[in-house]
Amino acid sequence: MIYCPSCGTANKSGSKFCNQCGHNLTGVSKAACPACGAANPTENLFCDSCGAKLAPLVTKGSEERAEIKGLSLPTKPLDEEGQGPLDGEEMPAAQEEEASVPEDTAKEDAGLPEEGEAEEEMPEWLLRLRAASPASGEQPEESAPSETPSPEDWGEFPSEDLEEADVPEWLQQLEPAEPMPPQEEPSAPEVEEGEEALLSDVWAEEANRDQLAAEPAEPEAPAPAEEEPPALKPTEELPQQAEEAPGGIPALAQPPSDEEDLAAWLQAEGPVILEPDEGEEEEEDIVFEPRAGETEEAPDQGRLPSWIETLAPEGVLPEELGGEFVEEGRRTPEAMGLERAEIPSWLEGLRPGRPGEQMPEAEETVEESGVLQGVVGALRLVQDIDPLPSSQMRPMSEPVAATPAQANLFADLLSRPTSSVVKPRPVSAAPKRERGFAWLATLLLIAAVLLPFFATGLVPGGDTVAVPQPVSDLAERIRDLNETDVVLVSFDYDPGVSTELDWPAEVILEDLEARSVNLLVMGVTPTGPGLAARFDIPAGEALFLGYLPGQEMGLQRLASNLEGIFTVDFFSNAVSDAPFGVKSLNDVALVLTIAASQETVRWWMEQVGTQTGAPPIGAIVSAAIEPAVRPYYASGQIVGLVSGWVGAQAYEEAAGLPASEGEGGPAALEAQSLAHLAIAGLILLGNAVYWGKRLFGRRA
Amino acid sequence: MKSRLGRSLVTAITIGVGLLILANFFVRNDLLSLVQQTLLDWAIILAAIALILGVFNVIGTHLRKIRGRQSGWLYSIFLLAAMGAVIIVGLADPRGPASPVVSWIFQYVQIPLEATIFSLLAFFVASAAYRAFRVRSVDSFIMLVVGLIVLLGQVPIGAAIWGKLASAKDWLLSYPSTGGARGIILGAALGAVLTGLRVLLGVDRPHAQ
Amino acid sequence: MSEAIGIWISALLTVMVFSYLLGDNPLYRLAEHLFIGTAIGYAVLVAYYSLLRPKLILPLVQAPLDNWTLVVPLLLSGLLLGRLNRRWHRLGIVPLAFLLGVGVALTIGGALFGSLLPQILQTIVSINPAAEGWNVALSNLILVAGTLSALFYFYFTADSGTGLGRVKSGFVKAWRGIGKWFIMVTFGAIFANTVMARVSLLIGRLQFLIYELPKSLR
Repeated sequence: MIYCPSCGTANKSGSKFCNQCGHNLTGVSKAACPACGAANPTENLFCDSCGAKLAPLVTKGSEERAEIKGLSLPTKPLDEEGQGPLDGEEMPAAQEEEASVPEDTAKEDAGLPEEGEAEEEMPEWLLRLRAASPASGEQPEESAPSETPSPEDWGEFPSEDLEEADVPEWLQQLEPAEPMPPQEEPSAPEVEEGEEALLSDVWAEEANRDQLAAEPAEPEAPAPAEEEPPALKPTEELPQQAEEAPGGIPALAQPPSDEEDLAAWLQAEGPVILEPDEGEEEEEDIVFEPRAGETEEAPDQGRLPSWIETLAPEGVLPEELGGEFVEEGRRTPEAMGLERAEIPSWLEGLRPGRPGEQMPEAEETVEESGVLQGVVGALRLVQDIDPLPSSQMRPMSEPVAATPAQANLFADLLSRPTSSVVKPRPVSAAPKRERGFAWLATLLLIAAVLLPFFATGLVPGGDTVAVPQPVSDLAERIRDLNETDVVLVSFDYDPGVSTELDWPAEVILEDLEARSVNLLVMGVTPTGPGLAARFDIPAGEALFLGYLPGQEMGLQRLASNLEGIFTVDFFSNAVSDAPFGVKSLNDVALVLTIAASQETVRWWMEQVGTQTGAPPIGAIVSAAIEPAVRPYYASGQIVGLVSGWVGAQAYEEAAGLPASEGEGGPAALEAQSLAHLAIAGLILLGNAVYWGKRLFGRRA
Repeated sequence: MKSRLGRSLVTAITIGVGLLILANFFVRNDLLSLVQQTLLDWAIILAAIALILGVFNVIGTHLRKIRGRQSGWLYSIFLLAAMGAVIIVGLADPRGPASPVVSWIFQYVQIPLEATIFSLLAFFVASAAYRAFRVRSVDSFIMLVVGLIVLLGQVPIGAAIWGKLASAKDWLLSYPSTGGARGIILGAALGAVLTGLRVLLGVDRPHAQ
Repeated sequence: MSEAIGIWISALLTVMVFSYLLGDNPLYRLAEHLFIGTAIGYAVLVAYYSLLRPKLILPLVQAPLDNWTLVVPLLLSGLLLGRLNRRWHRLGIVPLAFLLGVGVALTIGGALFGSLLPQILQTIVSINPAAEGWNVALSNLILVAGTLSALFYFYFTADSGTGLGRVKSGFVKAWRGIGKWFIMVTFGAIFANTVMARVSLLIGRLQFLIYELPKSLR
């Protein structure tokens, strides 16, 4: 099937010229998408790029598929292969499929409609189309070829110059359809020829039908029954048509009265934030969006689908279409023989407006390009979809009927004017009970820490600690040093943790001093050398090299070549090229880093430890980072590990040093013990309270 | 740099310098080592300049605060005064930070202040231990049990509660905890290598504006 | 003398910081700002005296021809300082790129040879009970299992699959669960040790107030 890029007529594959307009079809292998302009194979129903439908909205129904007897149709119906009529007078059979394409083919990505399903009955709109002359003078051919799609079974637009006399005989002979059972189908309107206004009605009906027709074929809902072809004033006609409209347009609403209204509601397409209706109040079981699942149910006879309920005016929400539905002179859809239709969920947003609403009249506008080129009042198509005038629009989120109390509250909240100045409530402090417990924890900790200072010997265990393996390893390593060895000690911690690390640092410096080794003292933090300078280190045995900036860059530089790094020491004295005979780190017997950060230890491992011939590295670390540094000890990258006060105490024992008071004084470890006990108790107490409340159901 | 050439030049600097330094990890070569040392010297100087840059930023922020009489501007005066005093006194003495006055300030002002601020953490830990350490799952139960064992096993009182608490703590720290920590280290190292490779291959340009 | 005054000043500042326990107050804020000011000043002094003066300024001033290569870091430093000015802000990207290249290379090389390889190699431990004894073998097995499962936790996710995919995802999920437990063990140890470290800090400051201060009174 090849679709003419000019007029959209379906032509048999292999045709060289369009049998409608005569456009040269050689080389036509692509159809342009009306939405994005992408080229698509001519057989496509939907654009490969954006998914827009390449075919026009068509009505559906398997059995009652109306023949598309549009204007300027080929002369004979297309057969199954899509053979088109040669003289343009006969309707191609394939075009009859247009009406049969269900709306949810968009979802199903349906292929071509079945061909050859000839429709005996025509939709009302089509009947009027047949007789109608084009509203404007523009031919479909005048539309930009690139923008005009060639959808399958695209009916011809009314030709501009199609006059009564030009209407094909077959078209003229077509009788108004008896499309539906009396209950559902409208009375077939008589078709009068030459009425342009019918075109607008036609398209309006078509749109509505597309929305309303359910998957299972329903009797085709013909166009609004029109006893007489109205004048070319869609705005005036439509209400009337709506009154008489057959099924499928239960909620034909008025189009906006003027361009501004039109623009307003168009802009408010979605999500539609609608002004609440002042006159109407409460009890509105209307939701603009259909509830999940509800749209799937087949509409019962006379029962409004949920989406309709969202749009119905207040007080006019019939369980069944009946007399209550009538407003302002409109007949109920049932009365008009219309049948409730079920539409797929994706089309929900295109539901027409509420019934009974007066639709503002639309201007008579002519589409100048695109798919609807030459069609008059095409916008009304859309107006019918969302026809509510802004003044009568409702909030999207009106309450649901099932919860009237909540609905009342919600509607009340929505209708309240908002205050632009809302003073936030001050953030309340933690609840009293919690603050009380925080104080309890603080006081308990202070008491636990201070008690041993005033009553020593009370705490069981005293200050006796077992010596962990990492501590004894370091003690052994230092024990093996001799007097000529040079040890590089790097103070890599900040004053903030000096309280904790000063004691282990002092203990190890004391042990090193006892070994009479030479020390090179430096630091990778700016405060390191200053912290080191507080220790009593005999001047002849130590050289305070000072600060090594650059963190890992400095350490890598140190590892590459010690020369030239420290030209002056911490006290601004010149430093020789080889202090204590050390020209590179390989000349150092042991490196000790006193660190409070796992990152610092990692730098030493990665930048210094990877060098060939690198010296062994020992670490004196804050207790907080010991678990994170343990893997380096386990892998042998660190030869010994002393952590915190407990480590200092253990080292004294391992190295056989006299017990020192350290930073914490004689009762430091006892205070530490009690504090740990207090915190363990707090943890268990907290969990006991928490689980007690949970298990026994008390409110927190 | 807005120009494409500028961006390419910047990326080329990053990649070139990076490759020269990375090569030293794989190749032992005197010239390469010399190049690496020179580049590292320059980088170290730049790092110190970056610190100075940060200081200028701090000065500017607090000066603006004082000029604009923003909330807490009085404290900013003290901050700038303290900074200025230390720098001026230090510059006045050729020993700089090792001068007696600066050492005194360091010993009796900076160290006590910083140490006490850090010691406040103990109270927050105690408060959090009561309020936040709640067992809600198997994972938190494991964390609780291990935490209690290590907490009490580290201190002498643990041995008084249960004689084997200390060895249990040692075992926990040596094997399961080390296994988990090693996994963390490996994961972090892998991530660091991959991120670094992305920069060196020019895929990532963190410095690009 | 100066030591006694210093101890009193230290005690006063310590009490000012401890007043935070009663709530945020001007004394604490003052102490905090004093700390920041002195810390920044001290760091600037150290950076100047340890690096900038001896390694950049003095060589260029005293022997510029011998140290002509220092012009490069001087220029780069100038560009970096140019970031303070909005007009020259963009030029500062060159020294930053330089620093980035250096840092990245050190990170890669260090992580590869300093963390990855040694840690992986040391995870290969004997789990043979005949050679090591049951205690050590089991402990080593736990070490290996912990390492692998913790890595699994960080690097793999599992989604439900079908057939073989289901087996795979079940395997990954199981290992991730075990890895999470091991990580919880590590976190428990870190928590306990952090408590110990912080309590040590507190004890030290209180000890200072209790011991050092009375000593200076005598």
